[in-house]
Amino acid sequence: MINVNISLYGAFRRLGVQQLSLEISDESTVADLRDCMAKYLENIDANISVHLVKTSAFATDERVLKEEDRVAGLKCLAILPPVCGG
Amino acid sequence: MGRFNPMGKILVAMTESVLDVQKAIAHCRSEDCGAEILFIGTVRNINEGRAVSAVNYDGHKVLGEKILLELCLEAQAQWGDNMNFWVEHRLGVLKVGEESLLIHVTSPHRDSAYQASRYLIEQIKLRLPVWKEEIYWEGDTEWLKGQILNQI
Repeated sequence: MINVNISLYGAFRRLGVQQLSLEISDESTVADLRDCMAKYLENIDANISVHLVKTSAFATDERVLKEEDRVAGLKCLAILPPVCGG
Repeated sequence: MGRFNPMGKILVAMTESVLDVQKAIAHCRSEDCGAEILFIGTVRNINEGRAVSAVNYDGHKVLGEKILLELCLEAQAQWGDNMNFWVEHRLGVLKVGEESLLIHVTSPHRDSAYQASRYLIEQIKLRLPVWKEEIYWEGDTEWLKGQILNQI
């Protein structure tokens, strides 16, 4: 198992913390991380909808990740809700 | 006689500082460019019928600046290497009327300048990791819905 820290932006700021720390298996993909985060938020009864987790992207400082990307070894993970700049 | 500029200049930033139009113009103006397009986004006082007092802009600075640079390079590849760009997105709490986005493009000709400027704002709406939390006069706040980010 590995611990991953995920930086939070936008509506995820409602959680009141800068980052979440989740424990996942070494083999986990971004899709697995998404499921893990949705379950975690349900368990703590956070005021964040599962829909928001499902429609958000995961990214590093370098790129937006694909669902099949392996999480192990990635640095500076973040979850990015749907964007609305400008 | 004008200077030939084989590769245009690009400056991008995600910043908490006030946007500076004069710096953008100074950066982009070039003797071989006869067209300049300046786009400024500002905070509007109403959205979906609600009176807005301010907007809190949240953003992923490192990834955001990388994406802004990619967008400018894409525009250069499509409309001309000799175009110049200054693109800044403001972060933090901005009051109504304050400038949130500055896109300045210079190009040898107007058509490419218009097209590149339009391309940048539309792609920013789709791809830039920025989020708006509207602050209403009644005192409540709301994170706005947006566009789902796709892997490029």
